Amino acid sequence: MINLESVDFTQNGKANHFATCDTCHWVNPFNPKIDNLCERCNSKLQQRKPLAFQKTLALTLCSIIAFFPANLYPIMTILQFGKGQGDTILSGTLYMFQNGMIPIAAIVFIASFIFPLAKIIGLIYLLYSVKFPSRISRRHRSHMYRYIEMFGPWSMLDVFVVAILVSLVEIGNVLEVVAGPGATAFGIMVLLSIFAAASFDSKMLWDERGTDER
Amino acid sequence: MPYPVLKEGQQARCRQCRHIVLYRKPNPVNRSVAIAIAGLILSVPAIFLPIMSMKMFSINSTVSLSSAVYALWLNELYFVAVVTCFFCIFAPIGKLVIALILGLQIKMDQIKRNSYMPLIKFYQKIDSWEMLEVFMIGILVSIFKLRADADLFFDLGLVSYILFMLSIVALKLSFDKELLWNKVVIND
Ligand SMILES: [Zn+2]
Repeated sequence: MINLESVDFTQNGKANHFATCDTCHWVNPFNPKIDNLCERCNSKLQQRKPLAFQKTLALTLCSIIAFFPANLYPIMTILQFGKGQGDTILSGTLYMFQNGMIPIAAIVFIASFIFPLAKIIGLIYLLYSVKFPSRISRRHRSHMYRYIEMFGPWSMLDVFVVAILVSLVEIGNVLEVVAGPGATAFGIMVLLSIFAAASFDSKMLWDERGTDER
Repeated sequence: MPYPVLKEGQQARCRQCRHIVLYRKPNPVNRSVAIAIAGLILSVPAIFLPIMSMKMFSINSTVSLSSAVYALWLNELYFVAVVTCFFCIFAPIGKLVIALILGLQIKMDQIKRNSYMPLIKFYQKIDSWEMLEVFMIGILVSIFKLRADADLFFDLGLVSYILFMLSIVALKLSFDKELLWNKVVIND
C-alpha cells in the first residue's frame, strides 16, 4: 500500500518509485532491482514498456513495407462472363469518384488510404519527437497518439467490403466478384500498424528532455 | 494506492494531459447484464440471416455475416477470413458472454476467484479487436457500390445486425471494468 503523504506530487510516478499496472491500472510501489508483481491482479509490472521505441519502430517499418503490396495488388476482381480486370484500392476508389459516388468514395479513400498513411507518419513523428525536440506540445502529442490508436480498426473497412461483395455478387457465370492477394497484404498491413501503435509507450513522451519543453 | 471515491456518473482526469483516468458509469451491473442477454439473443439472426439480397437476370443471391467469412475462405484468403471471423463474430460474442458471466457473478454476490480475474483480463484483450461498426460501414459502402447496377433487397438480417451492433455499443457505454477490478480483494 502507498502512503499518500510521502508522495512527491511535483515528480512523476517513475521518480516516486511507483508503477501503474498495465492490466488493471492499480498503482503499485515499484522496486527497480527485483521483478515486481501487481498487488491486485498478479501481472508483471513495468514502469515503461521495455524496448517500446525499438518495437514500435520495427513494426512501423514492417507496415510501411506491407503498404506497397497492399496498394499495388488487386484486392478484388469483377468478372463479367469470366473476364475482368483487378481493382486495387486506389483504382476502385477512383472508379467510384468518376461514377458520382463522391461521399462514399471519400469515406473509403480516407479509411483505407489516408488513415494507414497518417498512422505510419504519425508513429514515425512520435518516435522522432522522443529523441529530438518537437514543435508540438507533449499534451498534443499524447492526444495524437490516442487518435492513432483509435482509428486503427477503421482501415479494415475495405477488406470487409470485399468480403461482402465476394459473397453477394455471384450471378452464375454472368457476374462474379473474386478476392485478390491485395486483401491479404492489406489485412497484414492494418494488423502490423495496430500492433505498432500498441507497442508505443505514451509515457515516453513525458520522459525525454523534461526541462526544455511544455 | 486507493482510487478517488467517485459517485456514479463522475469522472477523474489526469493533471497533465486532461485525459479521463476514471469514470463511474451509471448503474453498470444491471445494464450490462440486460444488454449482454439482448445482444446474445440478437447475435444468432445477425450472424446467420441474410443481410441483403441481390437480384439480377432472375437469379437471387444473398449475403450474411457468416457467408461473407465463408466466401473469403473459399477464395483462398484464409488469413483475411480468419481475422474477419475473429473481429466480427468471436470478439463481440466473447465480450457479451464475459459481460454476462461477470455481471451475474456480481449480482448473485458469488465472485469465483479462479474465473473472475482471468475473464476480465480476457475481456480487455479482445476489447480493441471488435469491429462491428466498421463492418456496418462496409455494408453501407457495398450498398452504394451495387445500387446503380442491381436490385437490392434488405432482409431481416440487416435489422438484427444493426441491433446486434447497437447492443455492443451500449455494452461499451455501460460495462465498467474499473468497478469490476475494484471488487478484487487485495492481500497485502
Ligand atoms: Zn494489476
